[in-house]
Order: sequence, then structure tokens, then C-alpha cells
Amino acid sequence: MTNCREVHENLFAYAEKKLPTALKLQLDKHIGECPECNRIVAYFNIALAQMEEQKSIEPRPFAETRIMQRIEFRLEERQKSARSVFVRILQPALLSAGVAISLAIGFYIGSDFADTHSQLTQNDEHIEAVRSDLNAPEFMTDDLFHFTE
Amino acid sequence: MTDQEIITGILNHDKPVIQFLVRKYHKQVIKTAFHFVHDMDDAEDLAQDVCVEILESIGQFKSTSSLSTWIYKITVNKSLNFVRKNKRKQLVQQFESLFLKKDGKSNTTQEPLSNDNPYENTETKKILDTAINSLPENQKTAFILNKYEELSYREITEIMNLSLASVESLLQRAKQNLQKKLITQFSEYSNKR
Repeated sequence: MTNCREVHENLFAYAEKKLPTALKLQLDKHIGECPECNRIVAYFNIALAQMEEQKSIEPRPFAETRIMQRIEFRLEERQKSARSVFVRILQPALLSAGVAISLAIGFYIGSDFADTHSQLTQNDEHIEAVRSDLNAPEFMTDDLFHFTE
Repeated sequence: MTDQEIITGILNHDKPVIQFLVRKYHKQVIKTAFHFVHDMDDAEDLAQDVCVEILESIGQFKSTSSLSTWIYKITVNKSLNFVRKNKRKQLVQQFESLFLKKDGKSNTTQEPLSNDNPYENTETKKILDTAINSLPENQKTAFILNKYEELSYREITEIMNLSLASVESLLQRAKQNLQKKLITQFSEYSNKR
């Protein structure tokens, strides 16, 4: 005697028509007599029909275009990030080098100025030495200068 | 165009080849993702992620399987990750709504089923989706690939990295579990009506 449990256990195979004929006939008989199993089998068949329907779902229009746009955007982003490597690493490096070069030039010019300054100091000392040799008072410097001219 | 030509083209960032790849596989990817997530917007987003992933990791592709199998693998992984994240999000939302209800600040009701989506319009469909979603991940994957994508057991073994016997057993258990869940759900549903 077939019961509800047997129907429940073989529901998939029954709906997919994969049961041996003898068992299928037994289940058919029970399902015809039992309203509860009848309802369950009916719902199960609807569910299987919906599964069939879902096999043929199609993507929405322009899905392919949208995917391509995203890919292109991603590729552009990748290029940008490659560029940002330049910005993040090379740009500060170049800037630092520029600052270093400027500083070097500054030091070079500065040291030149220091030489000139020391030469002037030496000249002053020389003038002072000559002046003291001549025993000339300091206020005569300007006159001396005029005299030279 | 052969798989090898496609791979070389992608490695060279050859746009027509990338376009060919998308045209050839986007339906497969969207459909597979849809069977996991049951929402066309999410499925399309996942398809975009999958295509980007293909471009970025094509160098890791080993020619031991076909390109299609490899794409299935990526799609399944991305879809499962999405479902996991979504589950966590739903749990947090449920937890939050529990507290809000306790405080009497919220009068949130369950959203009615939207009829906008042509794929989501019946109660039976909802019951079926819920039942498939509640299957363990391995069983769900094997079931979707076999029933919806109509892949052979051999192809499923390659996608899931399992033996033939394991896939057969997974599918058998998936059907049994689904049967049980559907019977319970359908009984409850028919009693409600």
C-alpha cells in the first residue's frame, strides 16, 4: 500500500518521470486519492516548470555594452594608476633633485661672494698697512683718493 | 577564435578580442550569477566584476581546462561571495530591526513582493528560490550548474574541483534536501490559503 511518505521521497523522480513504471503507477494511484499529495505534486510541477523557464532567461538589453564600458573604465583607471606611480614617486624625486641643485648653485654663488668679501677685507688690511706706513691719519683717505684721481 | 588566441589578445589588451570575449561569455556569466542571486541588477554587477577579474587574472589561467570552465569557476566564486555578504547584511539588518522594534521606533513591515521583475512574480517561485538558497553551498552550486546551466557531471567536477562520485552524491543530496524543503514550504503555503 503506497503512502504519502513514498510520494514525498520520490517527488523529484516522479516529476521528472524517472521512476520505474510499477512504482509510478502506484504513486499515480495514491496521488489520485490523496488531496494533500495531489496539491504537493501540483505545486512541485509548477516549481519545476519555473525552473525550466529560468533556464532560458536572457540578459537585459545592452548588458554587453555596460560590461564593456566598465572594462574600459577599469583599463583607464589602471593607466591612471600607472601615471600616479609617476606622480607619487618620480615627481617628488625630481622635485627633491631640483631643490638640491638649487641649493648647490646657491652654495656655489655664496662661496664666490665669500671669496670676494675676503679679497675686499684683504684690500682694506693692505690699505690700512700702507696708511700706517705713511703715518697718515685716517681722515686723509678721501684726500688721498682725490689725489690719486 | 580559439581559447589561446583569446588569452593572448587579452594579455595584449587587444580591445576587439576583449569585446569578442564579452560577447561570447556575458550571457553565460549573467545567467549563472542570476541563479545564485535571483536579481538581474546584482547578476549584471557580478558579470561586470567577473569580466574585470578575467582580464586581471588571465595570466593565472592554466590550459588544463577550457576557458569556459575557468569563467564558470570565477562566476560561481563571485556569486557565492556575494550571497555570503548579503546574508551577513541581512542578519545585521534583522538584528537592527529587532532593536528598533523593541524601542518602538520602527514600524517596519516586510516589503511586498515586487511585480516589476518578470522573473520574480509568483509565490511558488519565491518558495523555490528560498529552498535552493537554503541548500549548503556545494549542493547549491552542483544543483544550479546541473539543473539550470545543464552542464554535464564531468564539467561540474572540473568547475568544483571534485571527483565524479562526489558530484553525483552532492546532486543526490541536493535533490533530497530540496524535496524536503519544498514539501514543508508547499504544505505551509497550502494550509495558509
